[in-house]
Amino acid sequence: MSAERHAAAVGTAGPPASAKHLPRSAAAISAWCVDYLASAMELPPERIAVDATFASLGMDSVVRTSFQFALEELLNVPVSSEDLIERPTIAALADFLTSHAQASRGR
Amino acid sequence: MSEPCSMVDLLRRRAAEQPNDRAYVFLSEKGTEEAELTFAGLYRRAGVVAAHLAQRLRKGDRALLMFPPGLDFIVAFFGCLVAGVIAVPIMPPRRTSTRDSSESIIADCGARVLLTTSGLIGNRADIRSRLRHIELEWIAIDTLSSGPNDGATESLALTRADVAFLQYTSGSTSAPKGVIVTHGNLLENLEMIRVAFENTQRSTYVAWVPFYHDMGLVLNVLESFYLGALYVVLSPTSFVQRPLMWLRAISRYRAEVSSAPNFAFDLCVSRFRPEQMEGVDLSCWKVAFNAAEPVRAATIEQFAAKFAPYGFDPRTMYPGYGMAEATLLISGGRRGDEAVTRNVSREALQRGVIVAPKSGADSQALVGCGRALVGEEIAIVDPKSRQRRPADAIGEIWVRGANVTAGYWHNPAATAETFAATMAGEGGAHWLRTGDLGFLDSAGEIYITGRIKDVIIIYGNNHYPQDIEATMQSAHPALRPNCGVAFSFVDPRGLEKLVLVQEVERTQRHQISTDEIEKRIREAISNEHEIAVHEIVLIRPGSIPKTTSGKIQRRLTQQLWHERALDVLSPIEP
Repeated sequence: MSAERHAAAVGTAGPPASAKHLPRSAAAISAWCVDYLASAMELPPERIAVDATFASLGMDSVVRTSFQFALEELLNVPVSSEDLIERPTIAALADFLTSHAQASRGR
Repeated sequence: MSEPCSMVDLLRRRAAEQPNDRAYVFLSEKGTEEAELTFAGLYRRAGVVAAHLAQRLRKGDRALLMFPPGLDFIVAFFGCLVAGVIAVPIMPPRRTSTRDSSESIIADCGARVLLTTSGLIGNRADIRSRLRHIELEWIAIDTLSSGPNDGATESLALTRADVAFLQYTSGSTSAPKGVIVTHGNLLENLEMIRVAFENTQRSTYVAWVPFYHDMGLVLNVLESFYLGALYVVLSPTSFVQRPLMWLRAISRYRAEVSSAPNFAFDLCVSRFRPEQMEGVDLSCWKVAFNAAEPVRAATIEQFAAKFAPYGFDPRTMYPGYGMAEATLLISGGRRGDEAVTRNVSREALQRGVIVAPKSGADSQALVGCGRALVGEEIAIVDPKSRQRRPADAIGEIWVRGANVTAGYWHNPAATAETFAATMAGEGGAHWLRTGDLGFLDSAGEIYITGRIKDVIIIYGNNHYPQDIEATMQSAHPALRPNCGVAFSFVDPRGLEKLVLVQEVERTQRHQISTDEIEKRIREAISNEHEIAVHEIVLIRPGSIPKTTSGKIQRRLTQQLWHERALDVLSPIEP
């Protein structure tokens, strides 16, 4: 039990990423982010508001970097640390990534 | 071979004896080789930096080193040594922080030159603007070219007493303390590490710990150089993104030594993916040095179990203990010996007593951090009476040896307090007070059990309560300065967690909800320090424990929190 909880604390991947089923909508990306951060920060999902800033959720450096990379893997598009600073909520980031992902797939 | 009289003496020997051997390789985030330095290349490039420094600075002047991950830091560091200039490594300020220690460190050490790369200058305009009112010459060392002066510092005579660098990991943001590390301290501790790790020239290193961290600099950059071995460098970001890339690099380069703080071993277990471990063989790994934060018995067990199928030998786990004030390493085991753990009574430990557990539930596993190094002495001392304590009795850890540094830069008061402690009834010998609590067993194995100094260690980084309290109190006007405390505790899993206790002003109380206050505090702490807050306790005005002179009492507040005896504010809706 304690090992799994600790595993979550240091940022286990959330729901498995599969290249065949890339989430396309902002809502789907949002939902994935809520699950990921709830697990990584050991918070109940209802505490992860999509319009709360990542900082106000209490995100630390390891969760931030892991989250950024997990999003890259999930969506198969580059996500920079600036993206997380400039769009500091799940809602804003999901919107941005939706348009971004579509643009890069359309190329 | 005669003993080297300085790190520069050693650099010349390495460049002469093994000019074309690779000293350092830097891996990109994809794991490909992005840059390399041979020993001759390092000597040549350091000479170019030294020549430029010699035109501006004299021996003993200070130069700041602010670098992104990569090999340029190493060139700049050795460039300072060759020029007799004291290197001062600092961390590039975080983008999201509003206050950080760089300004007070610059003021404290009086540096007028900052060495960096053109990449950092180009990508981080925010840093220059942050430091714009400080008179500082910025030098991008990747743009320097050789000139007629390159050999000018050749004749500079350095001795073991000369200062090599200042390590600013101690002290709060407003009152930083620069540990003075001499060439002699380095050569002594690097030799102690060589003996303890049984290192040779074939002891290839792989690591990602940043170079402004004392473990990154001394244990990796300088120890591998001391041996004449190869060090394969990964960036900290590469590691956090793909923890298993660290292990793949160890396997690929057949590394013998690799070190990290405890959390990194946990991260490898939690982010384990079998497909990323195909073909990995960790049987080459002989010393997995685990230090810089408390070592957990569960971490050692889980890591060993997870990676045994990939050739990881449990005897590779090598817990240790050290601090910048002792150059780096204070204690360690022996290569090939299994880590020592001891089960003690959890209940008695909380009272500061070491006895056998009364039951399974009362049992807590403590991990031994090795023994004193050759030429060094460790004592356990009652911090109040200053009397030496016997085996299995907890007290403050005191250290004596040639690795103990010369003190804090321009700070005689703090230097006397920390570096010149004397024991009751044992003559006038000077000891280093570590501020850590622990005990020695009858075999001389040291166990760390707590701290009397006010420092919070998360992900291997030191955080000072004063800094965290200042950040918390700047989050909202209802949170008055000097009316709150930050402290940490170790949770049942053995992880260090941050707790904040803060008074809320009466007049402000109905302007804002307690939820909103907590949110703003978390936000400020995350932006400023990049750490998570485990618990925030808002209390009634005037209820934080203070001394008669009005000084906040962190220990007493922590004790009241533990007993659930704080005067907690009921939740307020706006």
